Amino acid sequence: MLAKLKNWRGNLENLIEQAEKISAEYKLKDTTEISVRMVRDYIQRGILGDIDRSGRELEFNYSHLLKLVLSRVLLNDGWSLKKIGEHFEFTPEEELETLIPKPGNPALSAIKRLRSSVDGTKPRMSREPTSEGTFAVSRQAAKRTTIQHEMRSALRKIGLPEDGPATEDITLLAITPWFQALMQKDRLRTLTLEEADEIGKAVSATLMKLILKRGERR
Amino acid sequence: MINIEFTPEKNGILAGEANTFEVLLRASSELQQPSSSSKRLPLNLSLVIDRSGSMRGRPLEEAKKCAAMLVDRMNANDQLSVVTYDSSVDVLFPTTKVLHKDRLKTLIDRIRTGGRTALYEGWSVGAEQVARDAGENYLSRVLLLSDGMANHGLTDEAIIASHCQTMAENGVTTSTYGLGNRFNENLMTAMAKSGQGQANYGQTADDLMDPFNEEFDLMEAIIARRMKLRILPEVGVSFELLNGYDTDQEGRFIIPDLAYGADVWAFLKIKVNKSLCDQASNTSIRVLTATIDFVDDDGVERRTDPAVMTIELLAQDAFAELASDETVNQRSIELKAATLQEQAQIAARRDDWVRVDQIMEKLEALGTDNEWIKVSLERLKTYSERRQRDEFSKEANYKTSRMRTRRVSRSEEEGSFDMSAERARPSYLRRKLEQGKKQL
Repeated sequence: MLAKLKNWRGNLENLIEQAEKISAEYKLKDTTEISVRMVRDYIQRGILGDIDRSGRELEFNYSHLLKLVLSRVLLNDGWSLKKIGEHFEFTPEEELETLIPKPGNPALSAIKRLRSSVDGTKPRMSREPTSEGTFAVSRQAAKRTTIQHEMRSALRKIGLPEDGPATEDITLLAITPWFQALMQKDRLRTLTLEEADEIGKAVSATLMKLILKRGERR
Repeated sequence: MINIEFTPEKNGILAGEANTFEVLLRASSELQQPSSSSKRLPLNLSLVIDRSGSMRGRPLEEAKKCAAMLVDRMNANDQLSVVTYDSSVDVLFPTTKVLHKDRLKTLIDRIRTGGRTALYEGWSVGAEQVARDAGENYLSRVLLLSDGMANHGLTDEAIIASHCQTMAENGVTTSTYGLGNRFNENLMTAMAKSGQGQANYGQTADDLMDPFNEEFDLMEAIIARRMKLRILPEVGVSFELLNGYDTDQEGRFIIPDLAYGADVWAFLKIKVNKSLCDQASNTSIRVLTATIDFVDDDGVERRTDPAVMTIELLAQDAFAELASDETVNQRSIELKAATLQEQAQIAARRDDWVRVDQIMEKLEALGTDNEWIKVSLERLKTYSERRQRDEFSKEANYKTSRMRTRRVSRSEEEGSFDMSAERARPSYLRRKLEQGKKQL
């Protein structure tokens, strides 16, 4: 299916719809629905790479689609979003394609099953444990996994990404002693003059709006 | 494609009474060498490297050399992932086509040592990497390298080995590489046995280069894999298989992959009831039928034609004149030596050196009829005399495993051992003097 989508392009809604289709087609295990908020978070973290704009709308292509689907697979395998971002940055697209699990793969299902049996999330053992030590390990693993699930669930409810609140390396821009801005450190390296100009205008507009509101209150 | 051949210890059994006798079953291919048009199956490997604190310094540097060698021997159709583990697991790079070797080797060079040994977690992450593309179009294998005891996460040997078996049944095999004298040899050999791969060990990382090369030579030479031997005895016949091969859910014996120029073998102890032998002398009776299910080098599942073993009933005087088959005798001696070494390993682990000394005497007696056993016992004897428990235990364990399941060259001369002849063979058919040492 992925091979047919090399020339795919679409907006945010199309991206989510297509990613969900691929996830279903490839029977990817992650069951979390892909949301607009999630994609925006990934964009902010740089996971999907650079994205073009067409007017006010974001324009996505095959590379973004591949990275979105694959990030769900890797998250499900226990990777952090930070590591996913780093891996995507340095890995050619042809290598990323090889990471998408093939549909109907019994070996992959088997190892996932075996690992989850040890985690305690699905208490299936191909052979019964033979020592108390193993039970202790399984109990510890089960406890840890339960806490992880509870944490994920709580984060989902308040609309944060499931691997925890975002943490970023930032640069503090002290424009004046009383007006300071925080900026992603990575972004500073790639910021263009046009973008700097637009941010300046946006800051001006926001401040003016606040001044006008203050006037209204008076 | 695969021939099954039976060689009984004698070409007949006694008429009119119950018989117990030994039979060598050999599976071999008509193809002794790859043809010019034959291509090996692409490899799909995960190298899982222990980077726990004890690997600091030379062991890790040598392990990296092994990994770099692995990259060098792969080609653009192969794929590789590298997983490292200490108390946590890190996928250094996920399953990747071996297109840019220098880039992969640079990543490998960046591995640094860390904390404890989460061996199962490391293996399972490696298995997952390989599983993504496991299927009939690849030879999929996890290569696990460790110098320590599993002491973090799941550590139960039986459960870990059963997981290796499940994955092997789903097309992902496991080979293990034990390094030094501290690792758990029972766990590592159990994982390789259940995982249908090779169990290897080196006293130093440099010694491991040999088995790494051997494994690669073998993977390039495999012509039939996932071999499962089914034996159906006739009514009145019972048998015992002495190699210690595991069985699958259908009762088939899981035997090693078949490679060019090699015999895969099973050694049977067969008992035929008197009722079946109550026939006239010089008549042949059916004893058993054997078939092998396997996957050929095109990834197609096949089954051999049934091979029927018959044997002639003989009168007492004719039977007495029969000579024993030398190949069967020698293989029987090797299996006895394997069993004794297994017992010696258990005794050494208990520090019962009196028992070890008794067993060593029996082994030396077996060595009088088998030159390989004789010369390969020398080092083992040194370890026992010096009461070097870890060294003795590992060497005995790996010798046991190798003697029971080794692939055999047809050009081997029974009972003899000559280093120059060993050197001339493919590495996977060579007999070593010491399992944990670089030899050739």
